[in-house]
Amino acid sequence: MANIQVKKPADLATAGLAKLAAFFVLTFFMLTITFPSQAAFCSLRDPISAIQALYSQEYQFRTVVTDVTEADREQMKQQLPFTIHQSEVAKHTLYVLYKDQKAEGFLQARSEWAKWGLVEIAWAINLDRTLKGFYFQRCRSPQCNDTVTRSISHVIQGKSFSQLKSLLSGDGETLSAYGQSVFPIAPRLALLTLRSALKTLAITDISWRKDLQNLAIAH
Amino acid sequence: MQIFFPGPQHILALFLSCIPFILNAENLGSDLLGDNARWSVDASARLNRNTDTQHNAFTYVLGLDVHKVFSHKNRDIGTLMFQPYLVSLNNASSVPFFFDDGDDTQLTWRITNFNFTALAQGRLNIKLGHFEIPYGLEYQEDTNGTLRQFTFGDRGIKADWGMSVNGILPYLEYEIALTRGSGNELTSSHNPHIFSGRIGSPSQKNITAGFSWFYGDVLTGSGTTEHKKLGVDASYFYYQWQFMFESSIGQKAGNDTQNSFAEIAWIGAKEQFKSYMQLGYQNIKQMNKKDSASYWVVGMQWQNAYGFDISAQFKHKLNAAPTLNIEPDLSIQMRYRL
Repeated sequence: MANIQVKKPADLATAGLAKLAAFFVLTFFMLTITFPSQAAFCSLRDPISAIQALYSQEYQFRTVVTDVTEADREQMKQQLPFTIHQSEVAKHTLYVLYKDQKAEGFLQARSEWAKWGLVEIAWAINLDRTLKGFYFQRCRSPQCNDTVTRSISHVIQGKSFSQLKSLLSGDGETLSAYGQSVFPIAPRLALLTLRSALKTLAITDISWRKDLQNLAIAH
Repeated sequence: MQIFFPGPQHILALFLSCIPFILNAENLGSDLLGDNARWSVDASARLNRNTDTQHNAFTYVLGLDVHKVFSHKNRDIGTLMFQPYLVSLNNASSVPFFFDDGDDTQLTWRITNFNFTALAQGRLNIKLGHFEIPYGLEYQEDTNGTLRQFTFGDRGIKADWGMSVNGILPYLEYEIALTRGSGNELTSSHNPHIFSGRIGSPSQKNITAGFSWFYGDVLTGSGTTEHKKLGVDASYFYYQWQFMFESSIGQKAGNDTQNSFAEIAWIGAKEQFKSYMQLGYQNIKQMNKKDSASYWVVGMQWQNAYGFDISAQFKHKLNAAPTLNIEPDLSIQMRYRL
């Protein structure tokens, strides 16, 4: 007769705890290696709503994923008094918009910290790097309504990097006197949007330069 | 002395663990997977404790996530998602039917599909593979691998093999799916099938609403269970607060059912901390006798910027019935995404 040993629940629980301890040791070992982390990919979605809002139906788009590096982050400091957050050193996506087989512009979604959480803004950029428009993909404040969006959009549409920069103070932390005069409604949200616009324009040329050259649509 | 022979699952686990060390992590995406690819390794350990019986169960998960967009000239063709996960149970008392017992290890599939997006700029896509069944709140929130879950337990299945049409229109999002009804395994035994779908308002807005349906036979360990369900869901975001609600009516194995679910969540300004409270209610009418049960859940999740997260949750009944028992469950999970 076979000698069958039935494991006691206490033994199984002990074995489980041993496995759990081993897992934690392995996890903390892995934590010492500083690879950039990434969100669960099931949550990655194309900004279709933004593309539909900012471009007409005749436009096609293609995805260009690139690595935004620590060096890119440092390079942005040469153009702006601020830079992207360290957690943004990771893979990011630029969408190239085509009409009649010809590149017409770009779309990039960026996140900015607000005091109530992340605000995600999709930016439409013309080939000459002026702004075509923007779309709040995610903003948990009721302030991000159509009236405020229209008022900010009215000021920044068609503006270039240097024109946008003139709306900010020297340290980039507040609106300039000119900026305050053109953003009478929701100035704090306007400041957040403006900083996002400048980072987007800067990082597009810094991080996607090679990709855009390969697609023969470099600036 | 017992000699340990590694099974295929152990070899796969070892392979997955070693990927970052074998290959240069920075270059893996472009070298091995080509352009427009992202990858990640996901590891977690979970403790579930029944606080009445003092029974502890452990779940260890190691998985690979690959996300790749295929493009041609001036347009995207489609998106591939590939998520094989090795799940090892230890001392578990109630397990999904595709595990042999509570101390088994199996290869499972999370989201593994190809979504063909070249037809109409995202307005009409065709998805083929293993994906989340489009229904209710699950559709717009990513709850894969987290303790926080919504109502898939009522339907007995979260993701399934099959095909769907899906898309985003200016004022509408939709997904309509025909799936095998067998969950993790692609099997035709007992001929299960599910026809499901959700049509809702744009998910990026602060107020959303949707209508869902779920019809079919879901494979279980002892055959299939027939489900018929119609549901509505809504969510509202106000600064750091999130309010969610889902309700449905239908039939399960021929018995009339009603289910309701509500959640209030608070998210920290840096979005590293989330806490939530859920309430669930179910009612079933069997042979002219009505049984109802309800429960509450409190939970929290904290994650750092380097992919490490810890979460805890406690579920307890408010009231139960002989046919609808709810075990008190304390869960703690540590997870790391590399």
